[in-house]
Amino acid sequence: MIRLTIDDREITVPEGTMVVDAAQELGIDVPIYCYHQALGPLGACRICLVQVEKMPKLVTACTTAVQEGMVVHTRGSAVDKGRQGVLEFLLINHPLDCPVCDKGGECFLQDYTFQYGSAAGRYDEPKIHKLKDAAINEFIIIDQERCVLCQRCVRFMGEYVGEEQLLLEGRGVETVVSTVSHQPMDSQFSGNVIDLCPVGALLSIPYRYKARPWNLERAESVCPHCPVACTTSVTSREGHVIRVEGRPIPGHDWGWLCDRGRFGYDFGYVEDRLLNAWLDGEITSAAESTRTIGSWLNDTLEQHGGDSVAFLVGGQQTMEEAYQIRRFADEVVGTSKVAVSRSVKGYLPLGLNGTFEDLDRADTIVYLGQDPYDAVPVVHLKVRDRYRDNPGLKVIGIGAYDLTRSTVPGDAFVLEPGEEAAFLAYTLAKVAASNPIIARLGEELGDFSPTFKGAKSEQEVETLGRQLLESEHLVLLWDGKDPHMESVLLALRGLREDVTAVLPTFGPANWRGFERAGIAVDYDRLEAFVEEAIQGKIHLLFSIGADLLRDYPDRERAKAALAAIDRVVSVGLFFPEQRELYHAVIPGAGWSEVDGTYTNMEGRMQVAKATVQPPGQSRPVRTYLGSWAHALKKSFVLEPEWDPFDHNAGDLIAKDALPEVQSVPKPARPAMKDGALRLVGTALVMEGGMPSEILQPRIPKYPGRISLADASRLGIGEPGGELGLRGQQGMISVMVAVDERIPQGVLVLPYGVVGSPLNQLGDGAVVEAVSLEEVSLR
Amino acid sequence: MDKKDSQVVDVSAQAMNIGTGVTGMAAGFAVTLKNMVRSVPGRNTVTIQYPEQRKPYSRRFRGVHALTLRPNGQLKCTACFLCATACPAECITIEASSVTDDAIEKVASRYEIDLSRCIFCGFCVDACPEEAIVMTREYDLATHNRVDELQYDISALTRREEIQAYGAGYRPHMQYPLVESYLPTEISAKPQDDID
Ligand code: SF4
Ligand code: SF4
Ligand code: SF4
Ligand code: SF4
Ligand code: FES
Repeated sequence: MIRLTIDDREITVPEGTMVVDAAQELGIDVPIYCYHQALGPLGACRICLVQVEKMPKLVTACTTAVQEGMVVHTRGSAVDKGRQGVLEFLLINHPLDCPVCDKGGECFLQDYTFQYGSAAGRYDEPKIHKLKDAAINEFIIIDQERCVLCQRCVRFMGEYVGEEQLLLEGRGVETVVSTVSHQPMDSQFSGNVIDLCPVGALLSIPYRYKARPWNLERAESVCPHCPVACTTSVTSREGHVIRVEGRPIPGHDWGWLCDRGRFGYDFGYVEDRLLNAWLDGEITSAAESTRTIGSWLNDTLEQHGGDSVAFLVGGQQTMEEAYQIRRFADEVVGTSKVAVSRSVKGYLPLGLNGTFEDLDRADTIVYLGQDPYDAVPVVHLKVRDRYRDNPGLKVIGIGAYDLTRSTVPGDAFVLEPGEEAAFLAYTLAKVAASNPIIARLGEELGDFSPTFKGAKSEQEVETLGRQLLESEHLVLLWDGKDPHMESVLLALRGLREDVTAVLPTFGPANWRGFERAGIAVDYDRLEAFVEEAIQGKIHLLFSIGADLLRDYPDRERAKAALAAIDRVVSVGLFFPEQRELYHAVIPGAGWSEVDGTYTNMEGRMQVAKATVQPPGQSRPVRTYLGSWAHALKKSFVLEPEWDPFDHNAGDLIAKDALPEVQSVPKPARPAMKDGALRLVGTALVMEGGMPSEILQPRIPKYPGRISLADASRLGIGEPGGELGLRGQQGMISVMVAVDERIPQGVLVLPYGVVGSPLNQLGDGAVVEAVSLEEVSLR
Repeated sequence: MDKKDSQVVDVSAQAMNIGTGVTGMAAGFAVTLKNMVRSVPGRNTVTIQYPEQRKPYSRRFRGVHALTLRPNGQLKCTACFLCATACPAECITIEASSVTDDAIEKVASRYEIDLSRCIFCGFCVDACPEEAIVMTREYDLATHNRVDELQYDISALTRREEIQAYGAGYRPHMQYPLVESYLPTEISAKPQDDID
């Protein structure tokens, strides 16, 4: 620890701290442009000048490490004069167009010029003109004249994200920030440079000219698009969400967002947003729909009793809403049939759940079935952050295709689809066969042995096994597809002495929160509900924020279940798929329209504030619950008497006991005819998320991915093409493109792609390529 | 001035002084009489036959706003929202958009003043860095419908004949001529007696 004095105040900070951070700890503000704690010191802009006693000249606070006994002055005539000079230089070629600059009002160049700058410049020569308003991708424009060349953006993309897409071009006064080869940036994290740019050089296109910073409202929120639930700040003006920014939490989170989270905020305003209540395909009034649904509920309860009513919930709403739905089901309706709509079968016991702090300490990170970049992008960034701190980080991808990427290099084990759990049980048995837990795990494996696409020796498998057992801080990211993986994870936890943390990358985004609110999320519940529906035991279904057809792994069964129910009521932001299966569709309110708490993949509860009113006739679920209860002449108290944070120390949900380890069965390998493909489903935030007009240009036109070999065999060229697929359960057509990480014989397709329903054929199904005419004849 | 230094006057004693009362009254009536004589028909009459006749107002008169234009007819306004921010009655609504013209980045695609709320304080005119909004000397605003007819949009704020007829009123830098403007600073319409 080092003691120093800053502006006559003493402070003790760890060695290696920069003066600027030490001052920050004392609450002393030193101006900065180029410095960012996540990026480290650079010393490019010189605005952070301070005076250190016994040093002949002013020094930059961001590149000067603290030293014992240092005496620093952050103000004073010398310092102010220095900063004034720096600002004068920065403004020489600056266009001074604050009135039309979207940053005006929250710009550090403006602020510091007001604070330290001189009122007039002395430079009379004509200004140098550079590129203004040039789009560097679908979401961002650059105004090179306003840039102060702090290089934050360049360093963030190149050093932090590891995708070199921005660079400095030219020399001297003609230096500008530009994209590599003048190609649009396509990184998943491009939007962060808008937050990083201290001036108005990099600006958001969708937010462009929408407001000025002083006439808008900001609310703390979290991103609703994936289970990471990144902390955000939502900007709204006149009751309209117009921007989402990252919200850093000092010491915990840098506030990075992926482009889905930053720009996909307009799902509430797209054309398809439900604004009216529909009864039997006709628009009706809110009052009429409430009356009708109330009478349906009344009749069903009278004729068939409480257990004939079921609730299917989507797992996207707030915990408070989940709690109200459960109470409504319990107290007003008297049914225990509440299921969460899911697309994967796995479940992760809370006791195994790790946090993002585990990623910060990990020495081995294993991706199980899912590349985090696609499904939970900011987790990828956290892994990359760890890799920057610890280049020795071991990353292992285990799945049906190569899950690693160049930004965080790792070792990929490419298996037959769906064999991850069996492979891990097999691997563990190789290194610790004598252990009773491992023996139990491998009981039913029989003669299973993995086949690798791309050679892997037995030796490598053994090394993997030892790594899994012996690494000091193991983090596993699990896609939740194979329910047997739960046992493998439990066994690992039981065997290892050091920390074993699992982070579930699967959705729905708030499933942990639903669990905490008392709604069991296990897949068996959903399965039991579908079975009962098909048998005609359910007469009235409330589908709240759920879309069974889209989510449930077997589309035909989902259809049969819905068709067998007398009356199906859907509450949501959009029409569910095949709306003719629903008798009433009423408009719900969602993210940014209701206050509430969300729990993320760490089990961390975070509050999101409402910023705008729900549009049209849409209302929060609680309003509907109250009016249906009223129709039954029952009272349903909507006061928020439940607080998710009760009985919890802090914001992490308390852990519970762990279940027993079960054995992993030997996976059945389906027979593959020549030229057949295996379908592998995956969660992708871009391709499979909610509709968004802003994101539309970025969402790949070809969401399916196949190997180069298969593509050339099937005649699919650049950039991609359409492919007809026939499985046992039907036919679909998909847009596919080549991805070199996919092995031959595999077709990866995201869940939830409109028009290409993976669940029509089934995850893991063997499919044949057929001509498109055949599909359209279907 | 210190309190104890000031002179104490006994007002009631003053009131008893008939002399002061009479001179005061006489002075008052003198004004009345003078104006009575001045208003004898044929002399310079104060009363006019409104609305057939109108009086011109001061060049600093704060009447209805006008948006000024560039020589090519485009709005000068860059939609910086400063006027809307300064407006205490919150009656200015602006929406911005970009234009293809390289020299200009941002223009107001919607600019509306709700004159039924406006208090004619002129703060918007003070706030504007571009002299894109000025006030005119137009004052007669009575309408039959305040909901529709008092919402002035871009075309009402630029293209009405009245703006031309009444001429520019208050703006902060009156010592300089209004640059590149279609607005006359001097009045041509029905001049009578410019009470500057
Ligand atoms: S970057 Fe800042 S100083 Fe430059 S024009 Fe924009 S608001 Fe003004
Ligand atoms: S564009 Fe912004 S972040 Fe990038 S170098 Fe210029 S000022 Fe810095
Ligand atoms: S990683 Fe997930 S939660 Fe975070 S911004 Fe992206 S979509 Fe939103
Ligand atoms: S202050 Fe002037 S330039 Fe700015 S919005 Fe108002 S009229 Fe337009
Ligand atoms: S912040 Fe210190 S030199 Fe830029």
